[in-house]
Amino acid sequence: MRIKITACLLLAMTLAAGGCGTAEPPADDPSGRGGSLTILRAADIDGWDPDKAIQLATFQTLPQVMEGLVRPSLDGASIQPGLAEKWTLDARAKTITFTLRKGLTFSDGTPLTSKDAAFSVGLWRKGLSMGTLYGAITGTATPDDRTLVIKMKKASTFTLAWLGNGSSIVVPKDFGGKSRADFFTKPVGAGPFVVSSYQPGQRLVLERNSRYHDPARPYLDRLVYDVVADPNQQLLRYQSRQADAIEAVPLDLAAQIPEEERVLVHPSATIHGIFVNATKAPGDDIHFRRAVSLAIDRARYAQAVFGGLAAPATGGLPPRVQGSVGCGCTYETGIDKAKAELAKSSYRPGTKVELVVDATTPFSTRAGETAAAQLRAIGIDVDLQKLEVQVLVDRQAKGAYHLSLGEVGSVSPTVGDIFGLIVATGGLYSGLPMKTIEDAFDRLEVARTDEERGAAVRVAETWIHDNLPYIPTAFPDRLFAVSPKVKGLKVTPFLSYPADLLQAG
Amino acid sequence: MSAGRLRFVAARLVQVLPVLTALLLIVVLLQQLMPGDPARVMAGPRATVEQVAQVRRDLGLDQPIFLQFWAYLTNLAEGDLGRSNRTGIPISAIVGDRAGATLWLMAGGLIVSTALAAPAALLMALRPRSVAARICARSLTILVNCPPFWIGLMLASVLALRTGWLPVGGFGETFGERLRSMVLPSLTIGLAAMPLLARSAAGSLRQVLAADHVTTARSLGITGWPLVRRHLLRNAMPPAVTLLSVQAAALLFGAVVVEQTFGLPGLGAELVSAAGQRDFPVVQALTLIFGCGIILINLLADLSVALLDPRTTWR
Repeated sequence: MRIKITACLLLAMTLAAGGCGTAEPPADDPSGRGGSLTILRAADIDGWDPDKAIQLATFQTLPQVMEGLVRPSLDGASIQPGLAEKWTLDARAKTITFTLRKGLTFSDGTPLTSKDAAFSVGLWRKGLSMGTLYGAITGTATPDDRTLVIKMKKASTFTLAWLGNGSSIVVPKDFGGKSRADFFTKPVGAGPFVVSSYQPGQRLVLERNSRYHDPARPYLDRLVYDVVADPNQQLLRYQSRQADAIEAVPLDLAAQIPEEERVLVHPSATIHGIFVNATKAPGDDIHFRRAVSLAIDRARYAQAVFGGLAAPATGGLPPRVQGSVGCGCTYETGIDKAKAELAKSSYRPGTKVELVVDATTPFSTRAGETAAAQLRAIGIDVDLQKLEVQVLVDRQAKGAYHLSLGEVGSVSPTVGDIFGLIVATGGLYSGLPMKTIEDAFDRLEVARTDEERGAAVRVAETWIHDNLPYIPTAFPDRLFAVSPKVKGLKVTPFLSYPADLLQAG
Repeated sequence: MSAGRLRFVAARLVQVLPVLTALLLIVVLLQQLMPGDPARVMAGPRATVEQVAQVRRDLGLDQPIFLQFWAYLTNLAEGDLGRSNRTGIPISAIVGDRAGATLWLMAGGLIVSTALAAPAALLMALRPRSVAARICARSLTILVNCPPFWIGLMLASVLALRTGWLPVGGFGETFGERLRSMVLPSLTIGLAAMPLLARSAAGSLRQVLAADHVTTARSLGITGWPLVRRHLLRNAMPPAVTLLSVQAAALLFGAVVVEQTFGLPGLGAELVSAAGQRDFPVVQALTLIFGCGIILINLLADLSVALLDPRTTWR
């Protein structure tokens, strides 16, 4: 999942369902094959090592070069075949048996077998950052070159959906004889593209993998990602057609993009909220947290901060992914009720409450100012501190804050990845015990029907609503700018898109 | 060269040593002084306290500062700037990759600023009461108040976006593309730097104009270009060289902003990006390179002055 500290970037991983943004109908017609597209992104990938995946760009890009066993469906609601042409769960859902496609090869011509896939599973499990999300896996078996059996200690349906995320990629066994560092400097995979050139922080040029398992794809001969941090420069390049698309247009600049060139993901599988440090006063008082939640007029907040390009938050977990069922409860707003809750709390008027926000974008500072204004309206003396993003992260990790603004988003077709992040970060740095969320995740992990998934998620949603480890405020949209030249872009709610289906019109 | 000038050169060279030492110390201390934990950034949001501590150990951040300083010096002496924490790529490769854009930008900026400032300075010094000189002075006042990023955006909007004559950003791949892509950034940085250079040079020229030898030359009937070439420029040269060195240093720092504005993959943009992600080895190396660049520019300027001005000596 992604955590975004206010408008900027930040962290990391999880999966999806729901609607998505679309530029044109998916390009099934290979007659439009060939050509080149240039796409702008604000931040570069975190490198090719999947365990370092934090930025959204990384989850999007890695499988283009190193495809996984499965990939998200076009609507992001489920998974579909990747390198594996089919899979079966056993009756107890404790093993997943994948059948790899016939004749798979890596882009260098080396055959790809189940041993490579098994090695990759081991790599995922050992990951420092995301290994815990593969925690149900106990081992693998490779009865033949095309069959991979993943063994699990419990009937984890989550694991299968999670494999659709962009960091579950398949690499050659033992990195093809190289060291890990050397391999990921020049990665070789079985994805639709190969790396033609890569200048970190500047430009990534992908070219068609002539050995890709589907001879019809990718449609493009060349796909260029230019990293341009400055939003104005992004816009100028797009408007001058030096670039064909912008991956995520800052919502401040949305009005600059002609209506017909917008691909809007509404809303994205992202939660924007106020993170609360519940390890110290006043955040340790549930009445104070309730007062904060009641003080935020979510509809006005979404309008003021996102210019209406967001939905008021109706739950504490991302919408539009597998398992998103909403809260079933209401995040109320009301100044009088907020003041009453504040009066019940240990908060004393005049006591400064630090609200830390990312200072690097106009959007994030505006979010901070809006939240501060709404909190001041109920009598909380907010000390708004605009910080450089890494300072903000550091202070969050060390608990040196009262309130902060941030975003958390899914990166896979299941809401389960957010559970993992919430648990790993102690309730998004709240410091509250996460036993209920952990238990809910255990239930979600083994859920076999939508009803079971919904029940597990509702437990978590209810606990978040009642205890407010963070205050969900909005589900922001994401906007892609897409010139008429680009065909076939289909964006999932968790903001991935199959680049092999893009066409240059 | 006279003994006095040789003493001056030797003294300036010796002066570089403590400055370099101080710079190195600052570079190593950067890691301690900058807020934000690089180990936390590298370990990611899910990492436990133990995992973050392990990353810190792996990076050597748990070592006492003097050991870190010694290790840095030792590696530096071997020509090893280290590797990027973020990408694992050797920093020397990053510098090699990125230096081109910055050098193009600095060269372009120097050419533009000098080419514009020289005639403006001459005009303001020789014809201070003319309409042209007044317009020039007012224009410089306006220009000096324009931030470089704004100048860049305006130029890109007017000269590139509307006409399509020039790229709005990027560095291009071929020599021709790079030449075209550097026009707007060079104009931006040159225009931003020019007012100070023009005004200072005009001031120096006025001082020389008021000198006795110029009055004498005029009384002998030497006017116009011969006066400028023989008596004005030659004598105004030492302060101009010093100014130019200040200018070059300003351009180096201006490059940080302009590279961001035009999306140029230069050292300045890399420094900003690395600082944002707490990639300390890269921040340290680039700070060192920028610092050494400034020291070198100042040293060369002083040595040039020593060569140009026979009165230069060390006291």
